[in-house]
Amino acid sequence: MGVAGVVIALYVTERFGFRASCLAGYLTQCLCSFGSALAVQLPITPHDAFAVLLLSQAVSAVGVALFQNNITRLSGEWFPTNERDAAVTAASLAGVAGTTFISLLAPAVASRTMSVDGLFVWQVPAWITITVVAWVYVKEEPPQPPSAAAAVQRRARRLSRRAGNQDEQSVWLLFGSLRSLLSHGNYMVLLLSSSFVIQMVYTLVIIMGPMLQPCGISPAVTGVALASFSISSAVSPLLYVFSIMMLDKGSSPDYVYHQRVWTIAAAVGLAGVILVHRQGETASLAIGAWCLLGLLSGVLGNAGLTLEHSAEMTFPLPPNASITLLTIGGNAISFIQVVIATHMISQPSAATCTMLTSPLTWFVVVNAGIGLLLLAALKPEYNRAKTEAMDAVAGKQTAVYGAL
Amino acid sequence: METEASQLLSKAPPLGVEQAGIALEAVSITPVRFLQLVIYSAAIFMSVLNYSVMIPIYSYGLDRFDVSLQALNSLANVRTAATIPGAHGFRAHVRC
Repeated sequence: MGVAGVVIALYVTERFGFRASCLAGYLTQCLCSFGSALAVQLPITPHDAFAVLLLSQAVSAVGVALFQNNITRLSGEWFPTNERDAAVTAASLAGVAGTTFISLLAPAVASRTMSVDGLFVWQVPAWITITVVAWVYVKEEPPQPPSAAAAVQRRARRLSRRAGNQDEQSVWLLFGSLRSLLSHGNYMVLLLSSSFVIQMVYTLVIIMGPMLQPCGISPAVTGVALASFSISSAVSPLLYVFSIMMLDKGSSPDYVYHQRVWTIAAAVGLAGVILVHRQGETASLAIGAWCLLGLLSGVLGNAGLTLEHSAEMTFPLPPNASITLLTIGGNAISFIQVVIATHMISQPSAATCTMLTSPLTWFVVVNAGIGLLLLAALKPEYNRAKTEAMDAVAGKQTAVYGAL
Repeated sequence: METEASQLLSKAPPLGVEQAGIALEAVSITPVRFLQLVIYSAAIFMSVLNYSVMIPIYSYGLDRFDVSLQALNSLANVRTAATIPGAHGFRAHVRC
């Protein structure tokens, strides 16, 4: 559903624009929340209620990409060069806040022995509010582009709109963009290197419980370890934003440098979790290793680094196109990793907690190794920054864009 | 068509401040820009929250309308350190 959603989202955004795409996405979430609330409120059998709930979530899964896919479109269209990464990171961290919030809410609901119905029902007014506010305040684009790159893409869109049949143009753009991205070697290197490493991190998170259990780690400690992972993975994007402010001094970041540093960091975090995972693993060691993994991998997972980097190197292609392929590729790699890791963790060898010699250890090493090897092949390709530099050299005042 | 578009892009003159006259006016859009991000972030927050609520339900399948504390505990364990002491007996209520 998610993969179908990102492709549909790319078409809708190019055909009808950023505002329409976001509004359509918010409307699908209204429908989903309404359906989910009905599922728990209607006097129907649990079986039927479950069917209604799943149908609602399917609508949500397709519709969510209509706005989630536009994160770099929003940053590029509305924010000047030196604020784009911070904007993407801020929006990404809203997702982390969402998981944290529900994690805190769920025990509170449970401890009062309340119904879980409320967790669904209250989403209806929340989504209606977001949709109405967005309808009133969300705009397609600012009066002036905030950067030269945004101006180029705006002009390309306008030329495209004037060029003929809109449906045809949008379909061409959809498949043309994806085809261009698939043949863009450097972009594919970026996609694969970041996905192999970061999806491996999330795969370990998914199998964390059964992975730690044979080592004598209790569910409560597992919970603490996951909490420490989540919190530290939310902290590291702030370090990333701070580092680009310090290192890049307001210019477009040296994305390859940051990509290398943080991908290697994530691989080190993976190694840490594997190394401490053995018989006699203590609770504090497990918690520390997962906390460190969150800190070292959080930028790849939660910050705008890979998203903005891909938008940078694939310029002037629409930035949401590069996200579309990143999502499809990342999901495919994640699916394969989870299937294989889940199989490995169910093997008798995993029950002995001898991770250093278990197949899962080698699986992690191979995935991280592939990611790092590909990373070495990643070349600097800053097409967007080049356009903005040319604009500045031409005597134009890029600073004016920044002031917008 | 691709070539045509590429040419248009490559021939596009550097974009400068021919519209600089409205630049000052545009300064006032900064709060608008911030508002776009806030609305967008709120939507991301809510969508992830919806997904998180579904985690125990997907985990427990059809039985999840009977879920309980195990399910919510699972959610809590997956997402935070929170545990649910004394929450035995919690049940999701589905009117059926």
